[in-house]
Amino acid sequence: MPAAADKPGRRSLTHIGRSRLLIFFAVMGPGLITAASDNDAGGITTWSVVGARYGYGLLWVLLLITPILAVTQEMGARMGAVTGKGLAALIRERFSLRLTAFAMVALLLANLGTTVSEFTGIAAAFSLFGVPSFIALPPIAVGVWLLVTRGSYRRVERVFLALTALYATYVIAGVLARPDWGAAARHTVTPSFHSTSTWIITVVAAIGTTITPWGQFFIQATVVDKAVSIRDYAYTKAEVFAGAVFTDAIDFFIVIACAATLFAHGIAIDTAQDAARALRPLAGGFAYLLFGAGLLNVSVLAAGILPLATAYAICEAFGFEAGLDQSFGEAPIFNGLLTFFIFAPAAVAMIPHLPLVKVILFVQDVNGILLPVILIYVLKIINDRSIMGEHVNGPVYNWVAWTFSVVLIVLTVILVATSVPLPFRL
Amino acid sequence: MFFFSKLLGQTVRDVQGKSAGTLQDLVVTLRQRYPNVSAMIVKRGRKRYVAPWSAVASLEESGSLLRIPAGRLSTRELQPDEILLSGQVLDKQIVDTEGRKLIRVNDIQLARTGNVLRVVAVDISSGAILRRIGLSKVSGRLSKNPKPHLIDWGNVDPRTSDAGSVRLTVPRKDLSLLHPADIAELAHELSPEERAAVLDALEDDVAADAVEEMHPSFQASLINEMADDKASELLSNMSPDDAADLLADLPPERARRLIGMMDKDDAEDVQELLTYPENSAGGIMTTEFAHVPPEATANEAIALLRRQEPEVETVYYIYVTDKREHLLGVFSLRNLLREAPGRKVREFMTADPVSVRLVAGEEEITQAIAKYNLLALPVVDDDGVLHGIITVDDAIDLVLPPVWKKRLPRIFH
Repeated sequence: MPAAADKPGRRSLTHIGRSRLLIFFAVMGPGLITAASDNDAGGITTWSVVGARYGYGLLWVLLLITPILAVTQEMGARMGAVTGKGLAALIRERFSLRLTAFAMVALLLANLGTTVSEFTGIAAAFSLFGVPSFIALPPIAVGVWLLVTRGSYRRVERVFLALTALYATYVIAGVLARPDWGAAARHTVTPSFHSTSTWIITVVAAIGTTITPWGQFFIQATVVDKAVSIRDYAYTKAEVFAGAVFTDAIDFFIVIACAATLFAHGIAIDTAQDAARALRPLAGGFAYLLFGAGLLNVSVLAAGILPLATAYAICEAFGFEAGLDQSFGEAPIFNGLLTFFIFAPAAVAMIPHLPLVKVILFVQDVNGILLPVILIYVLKIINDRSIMGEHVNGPVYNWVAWTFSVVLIVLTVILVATSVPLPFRL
Repeated sequence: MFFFSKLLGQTVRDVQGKSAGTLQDLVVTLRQRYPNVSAMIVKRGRKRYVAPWSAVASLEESGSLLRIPAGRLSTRELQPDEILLSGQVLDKQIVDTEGRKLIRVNDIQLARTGNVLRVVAVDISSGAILRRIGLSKVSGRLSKNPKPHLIDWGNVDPRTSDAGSVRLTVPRKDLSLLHPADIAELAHELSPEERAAVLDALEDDVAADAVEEMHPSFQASLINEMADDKASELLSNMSPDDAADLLADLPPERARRLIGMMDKDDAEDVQELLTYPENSAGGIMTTEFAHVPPEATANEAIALLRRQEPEVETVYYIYVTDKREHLLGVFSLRNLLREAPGRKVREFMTADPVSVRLVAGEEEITQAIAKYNLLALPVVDDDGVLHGIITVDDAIDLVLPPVWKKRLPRIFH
């Protein structure tokens, strides 16, 4: 055998720089993917409504929930990196079966609702071009189902994610609308309250669309998928924080754009057309096209991800066979759930004369109401030393997360108490 | 036969009929194929007591009776071969060695033989879940015969559950009966501790084979969690090309340290492989091949092969090299069986065999192997010195999508 070199040669030298970069790119993804998916139909619509209804008045809410979003996402990522398991599996292993079932029901309701809102978003996008929902939705639903079950979803997902860059148009629109930057800045740091139930509804919807139950499961599942170990975790943590800031920055500009165009002229948002108008400063007549394209893009993407994530979570919790590479016979419950989670919401979204914007807002409220349920499970797990070892929450995290959960519960109690029946007050 | 979940939370009465607490768990001893219950965990208030099986008069779904008064209950530590059914098996994921996958234990079936209560099977059906949350009537309506889906306990390995500090002294052979590739695939679904526990339970060479089949990022995270001495031993047991690939993904200081701790010969091989770019023949090849001098007879070649067999990657092709390791020819095991024992190797070998250079790229390698129907392809330098071989399984990996796509990610396709 030839004598060996005394020290590793060429390969290791070029590899030193490569190693750090490779680690970053290999683990990159979870935070940014989740962030990009956060601005779905519900997100765009809700923040547009926020801007149209209250101008800059709710910007302080956005500022407050950005660090909270970062915290909740980071907790999910940390749990995934330390345990290598998804949130549903952790819940199953830590809590009784009844409590697990309760959590899964909560997730199911929230996710079904959100999927309805995605299909509603698709319907809204098509309504911009005069295509009614009952013509547009069936082929789209079938298309999503085929895409998810037949594979190549990953490639398509990448394209969709790249296209979410379209929302940079809101940033440009926001600037072009010549907003009152001073007022915007002031409202970002000064809380203001209204005592109307509409205000609470809007605030809870804003929170519920940013910090979602499904997002909590999703970030953890993506981190587990990438096999991020706790040693490489620093990169993921940085990326998760960056993702939260990035997604909320887009929301900031959505609010500003709508505030400067719609609120300034007293136009409320009832339809997608109204929201598209916010892009007028940028795109003029092309506002429709841009808005419709962007809305369609994110809605279809989420309409694929959500049913998949929900089916996986439920099967993970109860130990059912799950996997896209398995046929109906091999994984009947998984495939059945997946199919139901795509077509049932699509059917709901096709109900004629559906007040699309109202439905989307309602769903975000449901997300907001069910969020504390999931957060409590998360907080119990993440503070359990036998699961997390030394990576349990520090006191600051706990304080932030618990306070937020309590505040949100109070808000939702007030919301439910003051709004009967809810949909009509939206 | 009855289900463990129905016992949980039942009242435990002592010999005087007074309530001693509730049944929180059962301790079983993993010595036989169907482990027997050795103790009962009784919970009273915040305290947990251990009632040895000899102190249990009866155990039914409606409740259990002890032979001793409640005041005489005490606690003890778990013995090395004992595990807790509720704390460590129920609701956890364990390995189904027959189905070669991970299953989640939804319930546990127990059976009584005489005085002994044994664990016989686990139930992974959805009916078990509905039963446990009290919706068994629903499952009865959904299907005529809500059957449990039982997996025989003899076919599972509970060691992958988070055993905490419980270390098993009685090794179970089951896991090592699985093919390393199956073990690797299972390992992908486990948490880091479970992965380490599985590998710990395997014998060194099986563990090394399993690690070789794992996706690089799992390999890296595994090595990250391991202490240096264990890691270097694992690397020594792996074939040098896979060890080299793994080391290349580690931080350089650690890689250097681990190489320093490996067996000297293995370290030399690995270091040589590390000098070549990852996607070249030099980076893909293994240095462990069978070789004999040209003057050896067929008989002598067999003897040499027997000696080299434990170390080499494949015995199907034997390379003929001169004293300075130039590649002169190759013959196969088939030749050895066919030729007269006294015939010299250089007479029946294939002279000037197909080979590639160290810097050859993936396309050239796979085309050569495909064109000439080779099981292995020798890799030589510009002087014709034989440095290593690329076996057909590594070549297939070049052609198929990389390993991490073979394992479909959970959320994405």
